[in-house]
Amino acid sequence: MIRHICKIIWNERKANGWILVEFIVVFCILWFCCDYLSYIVRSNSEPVGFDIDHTYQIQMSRKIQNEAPEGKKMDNYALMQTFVNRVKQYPGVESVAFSNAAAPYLGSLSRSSMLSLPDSIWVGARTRQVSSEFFEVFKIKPERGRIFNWEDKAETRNVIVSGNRNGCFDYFDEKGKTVELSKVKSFYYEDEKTEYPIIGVVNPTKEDPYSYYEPCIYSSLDHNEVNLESEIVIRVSPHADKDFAARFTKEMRGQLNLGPYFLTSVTSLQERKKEVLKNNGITGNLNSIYAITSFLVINIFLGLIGTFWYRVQSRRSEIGTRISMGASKKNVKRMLFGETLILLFIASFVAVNICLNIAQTDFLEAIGLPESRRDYIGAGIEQDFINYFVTYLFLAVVSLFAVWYPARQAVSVPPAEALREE
Amino acid sequence: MLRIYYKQAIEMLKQNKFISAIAVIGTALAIMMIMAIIVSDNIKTISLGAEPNRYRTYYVTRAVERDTVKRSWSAGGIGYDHYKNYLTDLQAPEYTTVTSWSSVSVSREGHSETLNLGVRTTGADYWKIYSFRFIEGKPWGVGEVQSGVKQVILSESTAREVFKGEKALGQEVLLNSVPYHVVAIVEDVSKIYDMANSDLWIPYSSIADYKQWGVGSIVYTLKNNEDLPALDREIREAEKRYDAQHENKVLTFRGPAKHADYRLSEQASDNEDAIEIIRVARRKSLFIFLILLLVPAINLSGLSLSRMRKRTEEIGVRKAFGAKRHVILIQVLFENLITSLLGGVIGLLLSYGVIYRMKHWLLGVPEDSFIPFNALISWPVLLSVVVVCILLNLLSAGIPAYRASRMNIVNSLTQNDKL
Amino acid sequence: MGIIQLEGISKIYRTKEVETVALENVNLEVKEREFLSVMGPSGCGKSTLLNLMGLLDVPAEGRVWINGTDTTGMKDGEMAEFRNETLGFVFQSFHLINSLNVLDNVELPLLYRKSSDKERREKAKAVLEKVGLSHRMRHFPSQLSGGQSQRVAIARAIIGNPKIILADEPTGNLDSRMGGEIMELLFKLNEEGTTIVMVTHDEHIAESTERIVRFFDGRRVE
Repeated sequence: MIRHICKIIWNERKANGWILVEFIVVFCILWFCCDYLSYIVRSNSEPVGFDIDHTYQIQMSRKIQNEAPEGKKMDNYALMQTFVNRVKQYPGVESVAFSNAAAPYLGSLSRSSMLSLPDSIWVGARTRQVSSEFFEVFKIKPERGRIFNWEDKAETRNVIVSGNRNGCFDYFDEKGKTVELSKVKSFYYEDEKTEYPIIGVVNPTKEDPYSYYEPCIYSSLDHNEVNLESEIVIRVSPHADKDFAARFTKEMRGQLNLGPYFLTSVTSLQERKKEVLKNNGITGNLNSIYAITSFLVINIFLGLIGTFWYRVQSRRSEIGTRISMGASKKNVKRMLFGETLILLFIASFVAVNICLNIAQTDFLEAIGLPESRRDYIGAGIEQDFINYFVTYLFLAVVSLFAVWYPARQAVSVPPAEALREE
Repeated sequence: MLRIYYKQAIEMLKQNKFISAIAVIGTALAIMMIMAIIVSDNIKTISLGAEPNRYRTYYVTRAVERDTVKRSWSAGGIGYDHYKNYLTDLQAPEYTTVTSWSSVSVSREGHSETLNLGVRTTGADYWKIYSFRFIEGKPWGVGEVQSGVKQVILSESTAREVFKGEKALGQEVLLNSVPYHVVAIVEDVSKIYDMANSDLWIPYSSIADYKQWGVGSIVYTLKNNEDLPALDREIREAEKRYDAQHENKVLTFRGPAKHADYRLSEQASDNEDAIEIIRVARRKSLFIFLILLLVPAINLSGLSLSRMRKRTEEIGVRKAFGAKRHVILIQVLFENLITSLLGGVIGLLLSYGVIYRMKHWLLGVPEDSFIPFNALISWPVLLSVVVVCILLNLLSAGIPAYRASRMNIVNSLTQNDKL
Repeated sequence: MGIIQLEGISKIYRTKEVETVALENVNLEVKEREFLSVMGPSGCGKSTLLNLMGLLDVPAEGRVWINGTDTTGMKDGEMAEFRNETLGFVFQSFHLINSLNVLDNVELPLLYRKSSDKERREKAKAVLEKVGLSHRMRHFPSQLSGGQSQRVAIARAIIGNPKIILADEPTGNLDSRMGGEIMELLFKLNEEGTTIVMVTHDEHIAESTERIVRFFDGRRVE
């Protein structure tokens, strides 16, 4: 039967050419859509490493005053302690953390290169300055060793680290080379003489769901560096997390007028995350992909339904003949479906070759289309197979739906009528 | 002649409702997508309403300073020093001003309520470049900006929100706890005017430490777009002057960028990079337009060919009675144009629906912002919908029309010739 | 009972405005190995009769027995099987599938039953040999003359070894010499044991067959 259908497709090649070309173009585009969506789905299925449910950022500002009164140094550490005490007394607040360039989705980050010991390898990593409660707020789990506390004073310089996807540090200047976390005992920063011993390892983290696991070094926030304009994040117990931001702002505004500082806003990190995803283009990319996919699907649907409608009409007598030769309605429908699927198969074969070749080049980058980052999700060649099958299945389902109506039309004509002369 | 074609085309549309519907839907869909992009692009760049001078407005948004010894670099908004000593008093621009936007907490003395609103800092010429309807009061001039008076202009809805129906003009509001004097109320500005829109406006010099904080972006308007090379030259000269006065420093100002481009170029690391980013963005839109045109065109070509195949005999008869090739060509194209135009009108209407529903994604404004009617329907939009229709028509009916016109008479009469 | 048995057959075509009686209370028995001609002016219902015998259509009233089986109320699949195994069709306008070559056209009925590619190919070659067209196997229908086309159609009708061949004016589109060749072929098949029912206009051709039934205005008149 398949050979028979192939013959018909070949002999009708003029009419099939158009649908074939359309299938190829659409297949290619959907392939890359699928590639990108897989990257999104697979990234999303892996933990970010930060638990941001029920967490909030508290933003404080300094009053704009013409000139600060001279000679009166503020004790920022004392202000901070007052702040923590007051916030912690608010019902539902579980932990309060201060940090610099550390909390996710707040927009600031710092990276640096360090000399790792004992092997004297320059490694690159994200650096975060945090207070010890930072790990509680985001439920970052220790994997080995311990987490520092406020009593680990700045002079001890203890640091905590986390690795990349494979539990390694990346070389700073040689791409692709890595060193295992367990082989690093301590660090030197470029222009300092002090050693930073590693006292613990925590779970790996990413900037956002669609980023990669970046090695990270957490150092303790220096008491002298803390002020109320640092990042302040809090964790709230789940049952207290209802209208929390509004309630907290209203009830705490007065209490949090501390020195020159006042409360500006309380924002949940989930909301921050949404903004970040909007701004880094992921949301826009997804919208574009949904739009273009729907557009293509509707087009292929219209194209097939139209082409097969004409085909069934011009082949009315052929279908009548087949029925008189003993084909059942099922046979005829199956033949039309078979024609569609084989056409799609031929197209997919051509399209896959095109896609794999395009993927080798930087064509997508050159025209600014969203690209799947396979290195971020540790995907390999299996992704090509996934793309192929998903795209093929998806188009097959759409095509069968499109051909279904003309096919039903075809067999609904009584054979005696179909055979009558036009 | 065309009237007869028109009649026949309409008749054929009616006779074959199913296929006609498919062709019209296909066309409408393509035109909806294309017009949604064109219209939203038009809204982002058209010179209209509060921003009537977009076509001759240029922005310098960032300054990047490299230290050649430390090999470090820092990037940020335009500093006060940059503005005052290097980028103001240029020859080419008609007006020069600065503006930046941030959020501020707004309250009143003796009232507990605090609102988080957007505030825009401006220079004096800002009010000449952008166009506001002043309900009461008037904006500040050069003198006020120089003396750094704490004046504020409120939008109508902000005034209502803060003063709850009381007369706002002449009153005081606290911005981040600092008292400001209300000097004017302006009509609300749609969020599609991204440089004019705000809740409040204050002179940039009214902020206490503005000399350290910087002034945001610089806005120039030219009398004439031909002055752009001159503006560019002056800015580059300013960079050189800066480098000469600061040892081991290399300064780059990002710009001058057109209104349509300044947002894109903000992501760039230097001016060459900005050009490349804009080029990539152009290529991307071109590619998307190509897909949006090509896929429906292939689709409709297949359908038109099938339709022509059924009309082989008719075309044979027409030719037998003396129709020349180009006549057949024109007839087929014209018939198809009716479908395209029908689809075009439906598509344009649908595209307005799409823009209305997806403001955030397409225009980058909040879902609740209003879009002025005359930003939606303008001559460029109407012209482009006609151009897109004709383009789609040529792409989708070109080959079938050509084939039909080349058909052999005898074969088409005996229906042996297949298209 | 005959190999085809029609009992009280009526068929009415309805459109919005008119109701046309195509057949009215027709009884007919076709015996095994018989060569029967059905005659009558156009519109008398003879083609409808053939369609009913061929299970291409169902009667409004009455029963159609074929090869001892009552076909009333058969499902689509069963009817298809019946057409495929017991019946063979020859049409006035040949109804060859233009997009398939001669060999593929002849193979068609075997496509709808279980048979291997090789078996189909061999059988198709054999029947083409029989109708004298083995040298035209790779040609397409548009490259054949009318007589050749009809011989291909006959080859197609007999490839499945049907007990009955239903021929609807098989010589109607052919000149008399070609028509003669086709009739010879049909006579030969009849001699070999195939029952043939043929609708025709041509008195001369009809008289050469065993038995003639005549129809007028939906009724059997003879």
